[in-house]
Amino acid sequence: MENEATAGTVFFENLSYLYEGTERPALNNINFSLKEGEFLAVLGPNGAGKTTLCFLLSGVCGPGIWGGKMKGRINIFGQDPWTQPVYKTAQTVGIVLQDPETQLLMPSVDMDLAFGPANFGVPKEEIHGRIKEALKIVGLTGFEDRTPQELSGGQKQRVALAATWCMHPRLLVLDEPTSQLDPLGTVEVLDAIYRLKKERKITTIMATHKTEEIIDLADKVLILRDGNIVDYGPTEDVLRHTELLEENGVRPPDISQLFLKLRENGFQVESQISLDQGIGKIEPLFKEGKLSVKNALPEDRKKELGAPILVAENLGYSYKGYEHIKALKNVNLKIYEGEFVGIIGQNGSGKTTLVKNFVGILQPTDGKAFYRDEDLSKLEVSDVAKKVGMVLQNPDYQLFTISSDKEIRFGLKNIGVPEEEMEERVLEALRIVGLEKEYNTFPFRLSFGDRRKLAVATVLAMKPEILIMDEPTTAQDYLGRYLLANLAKDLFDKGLLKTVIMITHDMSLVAKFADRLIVMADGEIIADGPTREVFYQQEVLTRAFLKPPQMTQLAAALQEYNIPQGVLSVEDMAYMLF
Amino acid sequence: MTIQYIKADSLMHRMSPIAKLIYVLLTLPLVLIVTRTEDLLMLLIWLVYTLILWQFGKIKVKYLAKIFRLFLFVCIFIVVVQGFMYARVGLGEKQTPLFALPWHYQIAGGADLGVFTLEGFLFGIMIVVRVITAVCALPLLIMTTSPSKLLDGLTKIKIPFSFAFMLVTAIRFVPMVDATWNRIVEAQKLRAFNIDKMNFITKAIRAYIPITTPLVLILLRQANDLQIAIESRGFGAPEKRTFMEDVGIHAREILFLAISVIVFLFCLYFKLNYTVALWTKILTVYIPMIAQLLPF
Repeated sequence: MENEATAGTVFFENLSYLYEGTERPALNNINFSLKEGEFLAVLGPNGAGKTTLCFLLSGVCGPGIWGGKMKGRINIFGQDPWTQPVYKTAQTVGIVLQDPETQLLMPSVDMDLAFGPANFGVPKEEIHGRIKEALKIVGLTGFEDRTPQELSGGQKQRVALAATWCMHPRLLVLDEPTSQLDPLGTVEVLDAIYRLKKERKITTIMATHKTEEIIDLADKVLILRDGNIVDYGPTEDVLRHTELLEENGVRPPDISQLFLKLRENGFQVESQISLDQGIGKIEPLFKEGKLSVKNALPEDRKKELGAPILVAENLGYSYKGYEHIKALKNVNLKIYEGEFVGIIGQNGSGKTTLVKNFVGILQPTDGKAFYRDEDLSKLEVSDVAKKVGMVLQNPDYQLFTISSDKEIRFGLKNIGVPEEEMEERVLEALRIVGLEKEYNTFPFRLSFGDRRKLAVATVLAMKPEILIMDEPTTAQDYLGRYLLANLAKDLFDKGLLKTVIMITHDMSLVAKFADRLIVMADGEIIADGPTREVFYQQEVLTRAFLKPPQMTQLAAALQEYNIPQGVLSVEDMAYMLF
Repeated sequence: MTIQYIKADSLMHRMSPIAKLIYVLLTLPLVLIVTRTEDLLMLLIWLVYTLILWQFGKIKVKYLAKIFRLFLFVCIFIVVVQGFMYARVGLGEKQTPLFALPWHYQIAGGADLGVFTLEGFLFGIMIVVRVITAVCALPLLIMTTSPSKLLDGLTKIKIPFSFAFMLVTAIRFVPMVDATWNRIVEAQKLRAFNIDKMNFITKAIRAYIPITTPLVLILLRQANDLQIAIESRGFGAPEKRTFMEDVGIHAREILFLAISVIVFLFCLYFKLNYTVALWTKILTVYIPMIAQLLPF
């Protein structure tokens, strides 16, 4: 009896888990169950326990690798990962991790795909058959001989997915598989996951913090916060609980946020989660005259533009050893004092190469880059750092000292700030980012978010006029996503920063902050203008494989009802309608 | 990395890695038993054989240009040092001075440090050829064997899979470590720390800490991720691992090994029976003959 009930399902029963040497459970009394072929999405902010849940399923959190304490029961088609070695679990559960880099173990794609099944002694001919099929599923046929260095992030992640599938798992576990990819890579990976679900009916559990990804995929959704279940049920139901999602740091789809606004304004409408459903519900309201455009778009901030502060003149760049590939082609650009600029484009489109030419990391191979009137290639790195600051995506490539204050002093020493002025600058920088209390803390003890703030402080202490931020929302959840951008905005409004530039894949970030938007593709600037206008240039965005924010798409679909161009966010939409 | 696998189709690429490994192992004793200058002749035979094999493996000298350029300095150093210091006076060997420095220091029963001798020069050349012979054998295994074949080959000769796997993983991750290093160097430049502009001494004293600390920490974390990825792909399962490549010994391998062993034995035979006589003739007849033709 017991066996029949468990053999076809995956479930957690009152499951709690404690990491080795910790007091607070990472997961607390979790229950869910899935039938064969179903898809469960696990959502939640950072530290909610999403990764822990994935690792419990694959046996990583368990006696095999990380140990820890568990209460309750895990069942995966009649197996319990706690009572068997990891390699045994691996035959049933395949896991794809966040970082595409470390998952490819072998120097070529076909070797990597063969690695798993060969470990289990699957016959050679069958492995070759599986490799062929797996590459077809993920759309990488013909890539057998490629080395990992020859693949993009999205391609690497698809190889990881294919390699997992080659082991023919009954349960596929995906731990934020798209969190480190660009929009194009994300679409590629999601397409592959979609095909696995539709064509192979494989049981899947996917953790993510991007709600919009799972709308078409998931049958059920589990929302976690601080290790506890906040909500659990069919996707349609859970995603309609807009307020609950919002409160618990899960981003509700834009469209359902709009419906929340509608209800707040007295409309009796049921929440919708996808764009098409949303248009279907809203259009009749316009037709019946219940909704209409009442206000013009909110006025944008008017700030006087000053002199050009960063200038590119016929700027071109090719990386050493790849002279035939132009990473930047003949770029002409003027960025002025008083601008908040967003740069978008896929990885490899040249946006990072462009800003690296502005901060002195790279020297142009063609043309020139200027800071005001000064040729940047004639300046020392230490001179540039005093004028143009740049914050990277990952602070761990920079932090190395034993305390936060030393970390900041390092840069100050390099630019030759006198000793008596240093203390003051350190304190001020720490105050700006809100880390005054961490003066003596070992940087690696800080949370990832705080490490990023510290990295910002190290840059701000050098008092640059221009701040360039690379992906300020990466690895931040819904609650903390605008923290760094807000910080920059605040300094910008106070006049401490003359110009801010953000490079990002996050369309809602640029929609909210940037007043000038630059779109790059293939080493060229393909669009440059006010954010509200650029997001309506459909053919340009298509060329760069980008999608405008959902509300912009909605506004475009409802054009005939006098909705003006330039709508970027739910706030814009609500402002116009009510 | 200059010695690394190069994708191509050639006889040596198709050859079983086990056969190529045996060839490399044959090179070792030859290089080790060399003691005197006249063994140069034997080494040259094996070196020529190796270079012929290179042709069958489509290995081009230019792939290794970087390594040879590095070696050049070492080679010149060896020849100069040997030229001045080589002495077998006690063994009754003749010393032919080529030129002398104005400064002299005679070691009791040894060399005159101010005199550059022909014998020393030739001995230096022999050591250089010895090193080159050893170095030239390796590319034949590494540059013509795909990591996949290497892994299966090593496993086949009963090297524990975890050890063979470690080697192959190292090949996979060297470029990654390299990329991480470059990213950190760039990241620290943003903090006005420019390692590229420092001189050798400053670099050694204070430059590496801001680079190596993040590097080690990042690598440790990646190692952690790697463990998860490896174990969840069934590493360590007790089943007999499938060999994806044919690494067995067939007719082609047997022929190759037979030729290699014959050349090897010929080298030994040659060393024992002919080198001394031939070498004496070279020294006493051919070199003076050439010397007479020279203008000085």
